[in-house]
Amino acid sequence: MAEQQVVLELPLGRASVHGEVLAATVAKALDKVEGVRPLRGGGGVIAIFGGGEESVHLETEGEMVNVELRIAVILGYPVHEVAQAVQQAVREDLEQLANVDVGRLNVFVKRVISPEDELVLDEEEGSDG
Amino acid sequence: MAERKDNTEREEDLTQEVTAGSGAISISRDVINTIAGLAAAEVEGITSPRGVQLRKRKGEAAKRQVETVIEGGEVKVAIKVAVIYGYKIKSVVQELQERVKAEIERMTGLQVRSVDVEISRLLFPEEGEQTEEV
Repeated sequence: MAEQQVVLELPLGRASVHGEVLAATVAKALDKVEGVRPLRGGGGVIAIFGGGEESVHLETEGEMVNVELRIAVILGYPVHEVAQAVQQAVREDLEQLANVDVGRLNVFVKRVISPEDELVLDEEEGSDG
Repeated sequence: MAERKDNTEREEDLTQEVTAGSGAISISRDVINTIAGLAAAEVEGITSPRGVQLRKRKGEAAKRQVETVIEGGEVKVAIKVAVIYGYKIKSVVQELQERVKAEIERMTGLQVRSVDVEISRLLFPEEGEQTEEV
């Protein structure tokens, strides 16, 4: 599989932005939204730092990028509002920081997690350093 | 790929500028790489993809991220960097390109045709300096 990247043609030469950079931007954007957690793979929920990337799937086409996100919403938050906030935050960050056009931006809410679980996760996060 | 340099003939690493009458001047590719690396390190928002601030390890480290091709008296530079989260990638990259081009042209007199930039990582400030340092 070819490495995903977005290439920006600038006057002085091209800039290629690796998919990893975009994925990290996305994961970080999630961080700004209240009530959401990225989901790793199918099962476990995991902290935002570092582990978040697996829940992000990117497809690049020239200067455009399609995003697929798998998230968990914390119980008590309105799911569709959270999902919309996620879409907006991700789109904004990708367009502003990475300067890529976002095409499709699909958000899959795969799970809800209870606030208690979230506390456990926060502790794990802390001990990971 | 790292070994490539060793086998190719020495001219590969040198740019020759024949100055009329007084002899030839050649500048090693290494020199250009170092200039480019250091210029890149001065741009705010740019760091080395290895997570260590470029400027903290002058020269040696900086130039490793740079590859230079010299074609018909013109220089093409390819440089690999990480961008710090929060900076706009495009504007940071443009500043880097301008600086690298200006520095190389000022210090070597060679023309720079292009500066290609590869952004391979995003660095979060809170990750600090330990990231992938080993």
